[in-house]
Amino acid sequence: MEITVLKNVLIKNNAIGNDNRSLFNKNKIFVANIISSPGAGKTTLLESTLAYLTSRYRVAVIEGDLYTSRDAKRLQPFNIPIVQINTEGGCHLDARMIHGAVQSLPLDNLDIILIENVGNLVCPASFDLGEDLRILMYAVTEGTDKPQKYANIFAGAEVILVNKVDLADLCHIDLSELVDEVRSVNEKAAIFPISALKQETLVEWQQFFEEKVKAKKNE
Amino acid sequence: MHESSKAQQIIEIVSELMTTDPTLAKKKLTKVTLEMGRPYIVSPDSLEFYFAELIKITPWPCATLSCIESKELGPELIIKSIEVDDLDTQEDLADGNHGTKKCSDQEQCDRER
Ligand SMILES: Nc1nc2c(ncn2[C@@H]2O[C@H](COP(=O)(O)OP(=O)(O)OP(=O)(O)O)[C@@H](O)[C@H]2O)c(=O)[nH]1
Ligand SMILES: [Mg+2]
Repeated sequence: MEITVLKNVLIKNNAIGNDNRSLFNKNKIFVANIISSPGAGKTTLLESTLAYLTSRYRVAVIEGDLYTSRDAKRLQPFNIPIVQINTEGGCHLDARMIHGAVQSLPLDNLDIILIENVGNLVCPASFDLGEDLRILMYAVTEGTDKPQKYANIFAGAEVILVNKVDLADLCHIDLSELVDEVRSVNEKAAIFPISALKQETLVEWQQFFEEKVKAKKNE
Repeated sequence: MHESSKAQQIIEIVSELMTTDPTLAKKKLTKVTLEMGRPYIVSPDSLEFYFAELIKITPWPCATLSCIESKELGPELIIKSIEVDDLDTQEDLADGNHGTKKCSDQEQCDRER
């Protein structure tokens, strides 16, 4: 006897993701999920942006890492709440992990939560964490051909930060060709070419981000 | 890794259905059909492999997973349907083992598959 089920395999993750989103909305906290392959520059971006953000907003960070708390240590000088999640081999963060992590954050005293996902260009794509903004960071050193190779993760991003543009010439990367490749799988995402090591390249991106944060506060 | 956690999630969803729906109380699970859209987010072969391994420790160790492509879906995984049979014997029912006993050896499983 055949019985129709029609249930999404990610039904449980999505339900917890929605619970997380309700919790964040209730507290008017803007949440960003930063995804990239290993070493694209997620923590460097946090290091470069936190001084500015923490001077204006109450910020917390959730650090996803397979085994270590090295990235969390790098952010300690900012003196903000940081929760470390070690996935112990798991290739992505899921909504349940975030739900657990936020229990130790002062939610009534925060404006922004920045989540650094585990470095991986495949698995994090399928897991809604309850975030407001999904940011894909992509380093030019990874080449121009990856958007179509890793189409799911590129297609699901609302913002694509093309990082390490200072190395573009060295790596023979034509930025306009890279943008065309991104557009072939994602027509809508906001694209910002940046170098996480150089403050002056981050201005436009930071303005965009701040507008999103303010919009949430005023909702 | 990725496929194994997806296989585990599929098993959790169908197990919940099998154990909470009263009309399925006297049935055993034989097949799960999963619809996948392109681009695939998992490899169908690998998912079927992990399902076959992980289902062994459930009350329905002979159940199989069949992945089919759906043109309507995007990069999603939808459990389309399950197939169930009547439990084999009164003995199975009395033991509350939902068919485990009959399927517990590999040869029996292979015959059923
Ligand atoms: N040249 C250059 N190097 C950069 C830039 N951004 C990051 N890096 C370097 O890239 C390396 C990796 O940066 P991380 O910030 O650790 O990368 P990550 O994405 O956090 O890495 P995981 O957390 O391990 O996935 C470091 O050596 C950074 O200094 C950039 O814009 N330009
Ligand atoms: Mg990092």
